[in-house]
Amino acid sequence: MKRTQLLIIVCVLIASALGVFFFKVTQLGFPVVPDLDSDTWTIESKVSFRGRGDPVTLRLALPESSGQFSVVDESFIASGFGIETATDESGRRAVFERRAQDGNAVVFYRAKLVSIDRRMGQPNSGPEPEAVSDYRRSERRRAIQENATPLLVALDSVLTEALEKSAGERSFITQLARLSANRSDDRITTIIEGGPPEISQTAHRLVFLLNAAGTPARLVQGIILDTDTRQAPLASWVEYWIDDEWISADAQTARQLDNARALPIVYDGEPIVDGDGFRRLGVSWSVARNFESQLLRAMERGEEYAPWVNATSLLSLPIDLQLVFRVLLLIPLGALIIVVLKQVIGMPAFGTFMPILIALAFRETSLLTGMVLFVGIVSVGLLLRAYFNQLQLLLVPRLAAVLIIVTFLMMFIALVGEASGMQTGLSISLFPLVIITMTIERMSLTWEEDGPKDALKKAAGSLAGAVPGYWVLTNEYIEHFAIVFPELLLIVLAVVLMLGRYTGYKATEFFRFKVLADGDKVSGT
Amino acid sequence: MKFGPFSKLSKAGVLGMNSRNLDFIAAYNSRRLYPLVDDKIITKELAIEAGVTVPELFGVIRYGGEIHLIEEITRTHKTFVVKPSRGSGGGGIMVFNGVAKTGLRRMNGQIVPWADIKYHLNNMLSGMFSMGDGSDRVMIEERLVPHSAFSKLAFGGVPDVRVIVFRGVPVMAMLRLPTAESDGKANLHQGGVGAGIDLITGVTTRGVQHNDAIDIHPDFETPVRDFQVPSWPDILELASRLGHHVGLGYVGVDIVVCEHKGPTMLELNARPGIAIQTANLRGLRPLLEPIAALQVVPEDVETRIAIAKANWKGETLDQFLAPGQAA
Repeated sequence: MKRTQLLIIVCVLIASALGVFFFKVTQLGFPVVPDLDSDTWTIESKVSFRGRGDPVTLRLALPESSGQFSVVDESFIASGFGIETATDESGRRAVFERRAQDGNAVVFYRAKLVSIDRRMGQPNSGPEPEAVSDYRRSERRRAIQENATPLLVALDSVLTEALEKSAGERSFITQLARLSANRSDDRITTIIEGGPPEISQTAHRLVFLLNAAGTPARLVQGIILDTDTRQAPLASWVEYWIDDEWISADAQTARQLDNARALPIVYDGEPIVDGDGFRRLGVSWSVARNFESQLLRAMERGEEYAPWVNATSLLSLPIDLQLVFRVLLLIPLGALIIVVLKQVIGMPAFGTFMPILIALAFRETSLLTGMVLFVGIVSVGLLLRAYFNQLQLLLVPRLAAVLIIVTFLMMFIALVGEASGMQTGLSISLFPLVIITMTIERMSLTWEEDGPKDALKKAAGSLAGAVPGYWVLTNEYIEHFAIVFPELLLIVLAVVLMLGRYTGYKATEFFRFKVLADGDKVSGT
Repeated sequence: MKFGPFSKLSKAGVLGMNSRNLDFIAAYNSRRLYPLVDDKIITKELAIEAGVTVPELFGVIRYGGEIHLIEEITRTHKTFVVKPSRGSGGGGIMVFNGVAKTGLRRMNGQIVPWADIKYHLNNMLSGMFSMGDGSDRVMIEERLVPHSAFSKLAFGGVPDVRVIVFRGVPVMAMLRLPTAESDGKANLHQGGVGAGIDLITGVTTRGVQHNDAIDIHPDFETPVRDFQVPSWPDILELASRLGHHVGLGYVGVDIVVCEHKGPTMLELNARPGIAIQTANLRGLRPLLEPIAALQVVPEDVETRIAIAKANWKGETLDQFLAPGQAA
């Protein structure tokens, strides 16, 4: 009877999931395979501030439809504010205004950007810029050498060295960037002291040097479109004019940046947000790689024929929420893996869902680094736990002590990672602290009671379970399926329910009872 | 699951973990009765009610402030066992057989200082060794002296007999022997030896350690086969009586054969392990199914034991059907 009920539920779940799925694919044309090379992005800017009860004018710099990107669709969310966009010499800006604003307020700007294929045309806009001077003209050099202030001497020396070591325009720029980035160079120190105040920053300094050398250059602040993130940092880089076009380049190395990835927002150190009547300003940017145009077309079609599809689609959520769900929707699959590992395979592991939580943590690092970090932290934690045990602490304070130590370990790893330039150090901060602490406690108990063999076996099982979990949580195709067709998760639910009534053997039991399976001595008479 | 390697397992009647959980534990053990067996203090009361011999309870420590109770008990009793009331897998159990000035003496002669004992008691009270979460109580009870027949079979601990009782009918039993490796504990997964028992005669049939067949005890080199467990009929009766009384359909009864008191109930287990099948080289399923098919199980202990014996021999249970009941 229970089985019949279950079968009905399972059939209904699978049928409805497949029904919605096929409707979306065949009738609306939702793409089954993600287009991973898509160059469409959605950026969202969130500006929060606090009004003082006075009139508020807030000007937010916006990306422009020039150069590499085309802004195809933009919208503002700012209830109670008057909004207009204006373009002046410093670029395009949105102006939010309100007669009186008291208390906290948040305004959003959201834009869809398409990276334009250069070969399609759209010539670079704007006339050729003029450099401040051209150092390579001999009269200019002579003028510098005659006015021998420390700044000019240092400048001359740096530029001459770059010129001597380079073969052409591009290698000159590379050499200059290398010299400019070296702050322990006395000449650079002199230039920083003598020049305009902002050139203590690397990007500003390179622009200053390039302009002094006669290469038109400008400072850019913008966003590097790289991965989906809710906290995209505002990056600074330089653009220089060469061969009749602006080239974006890294401020440290002058290495050329991918134009399809560097989205400029303001030039020459202009503020991103200005205006008056507010304080406690906070600006954050989120970036998401868009689903390809096929998906957009499908959603448009859905608008006409089946509005409920769009209404229930996660793609209509704000980006930062979408990003959350891209991970959350994979959790059911992780849970399915756990069920299979535990019920069908019989893998030993600590805790029920720990392997999947570990996998989630590995998503932030990479699989290998994650494993190394995990093993490292857990082993140090085990040693400390053993020591605390000797001190005879009570259970909960001892757990808390281990938790605190683990926090410090992570801080230490993050610092070491930062100092040695490894990016992975930072992302470990999202490693679930409590999970690691509980692992340490459980593992040391198992170690004491059942011996090291059992403890290591379980630890290995937990890590081994994290590997398929990691694969699922990072697979782009699976992620695409989960966010575009979340209804397919109903099938996962159906499978989990079915496995809930699975009374067959576990794979490990085959080895455990091998002697019974092989024995013909089995008595039954 | 009739495919591949699993078909052999199912032919041998092996009961898998999933099937045990769903078909027997979930189906026959009402959740509401779990506390009765999970809490050893309640189990003890229940066993006394059923007229079964139990180890004498010297005292219960309920919270940190009562820890001094153990010192009072040492005035009247020199040998006793300390265990968490809701412990699982034998965790946290400590056995003492002497009192010294600085502390208590364990079975291996080592003196545990008072500070360590109090720390251990605190850990037990905070539920470190217990099922579920939260705090626990600590029981101090009589140390059972195993029957002298076991002197060459049990290393540094107390051997016990595990009987699986299904609907009040014993279906399978094994003798669990502590070894040096298992640190005096009789649990199989900690390295203890399990010996299958012929349910009719009470004679051991074979031994296993770590899933491997063994013929002699690893510490004494005495044979673990063909050993007659003392007071076997009493053991069967105790198991059957208690299994019936407690109301759990599928239960493991752990019994110690005591030198002076005879078969004594140690504890009950609502989720008895399935390793007993390797010890007996026999699958549980063919033994459980005929009993599951019975519509009514007789109230009378003698009849239930007769059923158990017939079942073990593989005989049909038709003769035990209530009058008028169809086969």
